[in-house]
Amino acid sequence: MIVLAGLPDEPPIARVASALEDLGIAFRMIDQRRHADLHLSFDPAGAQGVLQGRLNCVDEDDIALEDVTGLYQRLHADESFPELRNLPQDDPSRVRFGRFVTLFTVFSDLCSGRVLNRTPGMGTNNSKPFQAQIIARAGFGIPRTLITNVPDQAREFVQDSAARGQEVIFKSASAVRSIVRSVTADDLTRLDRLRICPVQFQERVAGQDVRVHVVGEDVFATRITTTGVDYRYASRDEGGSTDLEPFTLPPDVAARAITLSQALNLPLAGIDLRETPSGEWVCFEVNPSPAYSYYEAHTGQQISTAIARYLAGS
Amino acid sequence: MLIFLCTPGDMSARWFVAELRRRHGVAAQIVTPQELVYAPDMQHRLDGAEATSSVTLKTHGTLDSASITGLVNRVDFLPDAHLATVNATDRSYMLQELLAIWSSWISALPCPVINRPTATSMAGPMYHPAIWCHNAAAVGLPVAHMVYDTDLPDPVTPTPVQSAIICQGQCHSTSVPADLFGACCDLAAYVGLDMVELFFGSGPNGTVFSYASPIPDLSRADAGLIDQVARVFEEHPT
Repeated sequence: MIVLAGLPDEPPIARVASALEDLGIAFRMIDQRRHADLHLSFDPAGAQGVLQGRLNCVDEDDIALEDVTGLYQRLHADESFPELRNLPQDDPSRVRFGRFVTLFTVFSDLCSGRVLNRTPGMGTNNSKPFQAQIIARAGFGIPRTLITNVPDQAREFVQDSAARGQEVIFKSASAVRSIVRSVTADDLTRLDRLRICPVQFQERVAGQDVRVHVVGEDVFATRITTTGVDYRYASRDEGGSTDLEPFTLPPDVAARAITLSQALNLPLAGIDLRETPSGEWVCFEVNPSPAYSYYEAHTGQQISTAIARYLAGS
Repeated sequence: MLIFLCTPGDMSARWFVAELRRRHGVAAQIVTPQELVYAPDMQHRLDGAEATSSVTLKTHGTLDSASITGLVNRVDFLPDAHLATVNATDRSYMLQELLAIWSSWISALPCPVINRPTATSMAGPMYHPAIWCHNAAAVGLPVAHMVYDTDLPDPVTPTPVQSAIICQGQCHSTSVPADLFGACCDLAAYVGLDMVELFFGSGPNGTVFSYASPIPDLSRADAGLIDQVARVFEEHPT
């Protein structure tokens, strides 16, 4: 039994559902919008350490948890649901929603089938410098980085980079999404603010962006040409443009991408690479819950089909 | 320098450090998370395969990847008193940043670290009680029947009456049945903790797993555990 969980019309989920249908593979959809109708119950140590329990939705057949062989989950927080977001935190509906998400996450971590993705892998993105250490061990370059709360150290890093012809950007170190910005002369006058919380500075890496999606041992690379510092926001905030096209990675780079996804325990991974003019492959971060649909829609790469096949065990 | 990273009120760590010095002449130092987070000078650099960490403390001067020879990590949160005047949104963001930065800072230390942080937890791998229960059963420990259900309160774990501290493949306990030591070590290894205290309660058929803590009460440490920790760090002298 394959289970998809999240919002059925969210593109990453919807595309995998379509791919499964096209392949003639049966699956069940857990629609999170029906959270009040969803019920989950299990004994974590049911039978000699095998999770046993039931997942069900009103008016639908029960799913035996031990029968789940493939799970793709993109669960959303309560803030995403209009009927919940304005309720007090201790409202029973909101508390029950939180309990379902927590227990579903436990189930996904303990499920004996193929899961995209489990919590330990998902968590590595909560600390980008932590993840960067794993990226470096997998053989990719990483941007020269300084995290500090000392204004003079930050200034020196910026000046040293400038002397070598390199710009410096700053970005969040945690999973909180931030728009990558270049350090400006104005920023250098505000460095005293570092005292309260260190900031991550990185030397900007020149080159060509390539987004890589790994699905099991399948690799899909998309070359990105953009006018912005951060291609995700180039057209929205900077009046620029971004073009995506399929790209073939050198075999050794593709192999490194698979190695990295396995090192991070992420069978589905969105890897942000940049090929420098000197031919080095630098990795910025690995997204553990990639919105691959954006890349698939622009390139026609069959990522959703690969996910469907992975879930089916093929 | 060997460091015990622990809260100011962690009396069991202070006792353990005193015993290390008294029995083995190991001069470990207590460093608190407050000293780290409020330090006026911290740096964490990543450059290719090289990652370095340094911090200057009022109490111990500059500590860095070269001078720290071992670290026992007993911290599961970071202080935030210095953010008291920051608005709630920025405070939440800064706390996540601090966790991300300091977990990486400690993880980058090349020396032996007992309970290296993960990206999501300062104290090393953290698990929901149901996952502890599942893993305990999977390694062969006796586990009480429990049901987790969206419409029911979480089951109450058995009241702990015994405990064992497991450190890098050795189980130390005067109360837990010795025939469970092997499974205790298997559980610690499986979850990826160098040091963990496992608690057990009484079930109808005897001892049953209750819960686990990555920050053991070291006042329960036996001489064997003190000897073992001393050996870990004597192999990596200052």
